[in-house]
Amino acid sequence: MQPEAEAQQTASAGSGYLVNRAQEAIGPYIGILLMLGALIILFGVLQGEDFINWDSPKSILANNAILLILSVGLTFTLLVAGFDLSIAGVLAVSGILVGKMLTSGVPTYLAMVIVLVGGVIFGCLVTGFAIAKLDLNFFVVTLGVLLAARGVALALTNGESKSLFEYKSLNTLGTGAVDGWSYLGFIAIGIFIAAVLVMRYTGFGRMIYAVGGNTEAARLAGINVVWVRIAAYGICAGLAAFAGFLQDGYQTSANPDTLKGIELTAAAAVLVGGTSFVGGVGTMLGTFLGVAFIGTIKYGLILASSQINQYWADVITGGVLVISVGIDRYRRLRKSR
Amino acid sequence: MRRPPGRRTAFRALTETMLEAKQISKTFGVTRALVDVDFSVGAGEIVALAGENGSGKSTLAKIVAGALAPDSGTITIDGDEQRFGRPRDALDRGIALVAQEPTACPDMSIAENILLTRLPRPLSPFNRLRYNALARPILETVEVVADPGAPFSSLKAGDRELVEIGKALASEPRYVILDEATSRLGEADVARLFRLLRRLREQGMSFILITHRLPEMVELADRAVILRDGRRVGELQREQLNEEAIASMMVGRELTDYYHKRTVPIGKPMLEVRDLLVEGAPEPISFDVRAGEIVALAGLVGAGRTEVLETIAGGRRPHGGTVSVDGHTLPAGTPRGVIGCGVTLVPEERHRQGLNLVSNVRENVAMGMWSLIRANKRREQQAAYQSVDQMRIRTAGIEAPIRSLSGGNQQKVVIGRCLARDPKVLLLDEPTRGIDVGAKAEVFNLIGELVEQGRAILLVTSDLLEVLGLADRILVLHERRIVGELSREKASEERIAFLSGGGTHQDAA
Repeated sequence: MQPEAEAQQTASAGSGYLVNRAQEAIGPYIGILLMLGALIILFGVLQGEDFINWDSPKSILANNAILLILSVGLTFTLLVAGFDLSIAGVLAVSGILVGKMLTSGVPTYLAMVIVLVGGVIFGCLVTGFAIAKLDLNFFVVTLGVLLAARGVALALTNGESKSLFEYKSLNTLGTGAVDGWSYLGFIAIGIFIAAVLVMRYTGFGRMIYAVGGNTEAARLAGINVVWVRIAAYGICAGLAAFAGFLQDGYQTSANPDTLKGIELTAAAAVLVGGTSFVGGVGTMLGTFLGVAFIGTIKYGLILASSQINQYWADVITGGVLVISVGIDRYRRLRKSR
Repeated sequence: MRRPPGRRTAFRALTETMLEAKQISKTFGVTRALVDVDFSVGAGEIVALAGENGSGKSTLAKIVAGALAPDSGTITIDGDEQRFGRPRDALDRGIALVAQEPTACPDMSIAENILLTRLPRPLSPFNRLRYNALARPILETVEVVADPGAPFSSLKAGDRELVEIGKALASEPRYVILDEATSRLGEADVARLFRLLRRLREQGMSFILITHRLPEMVELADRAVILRDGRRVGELQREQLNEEAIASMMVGRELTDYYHKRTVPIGKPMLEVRDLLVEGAPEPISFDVRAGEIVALAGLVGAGRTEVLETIAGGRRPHGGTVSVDGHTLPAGTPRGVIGCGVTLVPEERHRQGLNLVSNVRENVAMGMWSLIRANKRREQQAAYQSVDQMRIRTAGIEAPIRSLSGGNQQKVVIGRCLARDPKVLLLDEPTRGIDVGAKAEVFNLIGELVEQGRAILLVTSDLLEVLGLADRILVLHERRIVGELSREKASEERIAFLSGGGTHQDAA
């Protein structure tokens, strides 16, 4: 026993161990990294200097900041073996409420705090409560919330959008930039980094993985499974509400129809990034790469619009989604043998 | 664990009662799972909790571990009354449960799994390296050689169970409840586990042992408490402990002919396996099973027994070789084709591979006799009634949900489906796993009837006594190769264990 253990330790310290560790660290992202690389090479060849310059990342980040924020939120719910279809609905209601508050004289940042806190509370008390405590199916609950929330947004506005052009600080936040790097991008990256830190270095993050990986084990280990799941939906809805505020600034108007269907794009980003529907598997970094991938396709195809119809973006995203899940499955199959 | 250096705390008094459950009752719907059950464990004691399936063992275990709240009754530790119902409370008072179902998070690291009960509070920092360091001594205690930072899924099957035990130890418990901890272990890993339990008992830790394997209780327990139909029916002290005594108290009657092999004339070869190369096996295998014969495949967990059965049944595609039944060659890799040729498999994992759990008895029996166009309900009902009769399935009716049946009766439904196809060859993979003594006896009886009808049976079971009691011939597998063939007369537990462990004929002689 003892010498065996020692042998193992010495072997572990060798360079083979480091290679293994590196493989383990990159492993889950190999598919998405390869495809992202291929995409960059493809557009680089097609567009040359038009694509390979600093404007590309600046523009991709600005145009996908809100998608990144939504995807980070969605990752929380997928990791606890759930899903939140309602993010676009929550976002729309939040955007409309921000518009209403601003026109009635509420300061911009107070409005932001109100929708953010309101979103978290809504996610916890309605969506999260129904799913985690009442044990209702997440698909049904969040589909219902999506329909209802979008309906509320339309009903509150009679379906009309309202310009928020005169609210300076909101518009600066939504469209401003430092040296071409948008404020939105900074905010989204900040949220992403915070999420990475929470997942990796807090007890809550590890509990999310435990609850998603094996709910019964987590419960028997004394983890409050209901609270962890409620918190995941609260964070997701809070980020969606916050994204609604930012979206108002980004398009300088409150539009009840805004970003229809973005929940599916966000889902595609999260899934391409290696997060699994079964729960407990996936990372925030994967989600970031997924968003980067989708953003790059869209941007590249817009640049190449003289050569390729940009509507092919969704076709490519859809295909890549299935292929990347296929690659991941193949990798896991090989590992389990 | 936390003893002063140089001092031995080995032989603590066994008499002082420490954990006591009194008058525990629990009802699920109309089922009275537990009725006024008393139960106690002292320091450094291993108490076996015995009973048939559905007798209330797991319910009692869950209540003591706080995973389930009792309807009435009290639990006291050293005389202090506990208010349980939340796992956290029980853990804090030193009670840990190793649950029947595997409870690992496969994508978290080994260390995180072990220390799942000791994760930091939600908003407190989590330090991976510190957790790995904390897990290392626990891995050493349970004798598993592995990097604590590696994912749990990289562990070998036997090690996983021991890591589950390590997880229980991580909460520094005084009482550990083991619910069927050995049911997924091979003989060698069981021995490793028992060594560990004995060592921990010497340090004053107590165990509540729930197992279907009677010899394990006799070997390990200081005392056995027997439950029947949710009631405590008796207790056996160390010196009274033997398999027959436990079994008869469990079922409430003397079990005669527990392992009964009827003498049946052996006919012509029915199943002929020729140079079958199972995926992952180093070399092809060949053997026959004759009409009226029971052949057992023995070997450790992971020796490739299930793979052989599943390959014959068409669930896996072989890399070469042929299988024929009654002279007809079986198609490879298609369960549908193989069933059509008269070979059916009772799979190892009843819930995962054997049953549609959201459906009823009738549909589970009839599954596989449906045509694409039209489901014939009358024929389904006939088949279901016939199975219920023939297999003596205890159920409220053929439309009763499959979940309302006990494990043993669910297993009979699976066997019933296989028999509804009137197979010539029956492949049985762990047909008695997780079912109680009474149901086992019925399954054995049934196997006897089947060979009397001239069918051939290929059996895999981890219970050596079953192998010895039932089989006419035993093929021993080791690392996916057939390493020995024993006739009924020559077979013994030692002999099989020896070959399973990789011993060779020459050394044995």
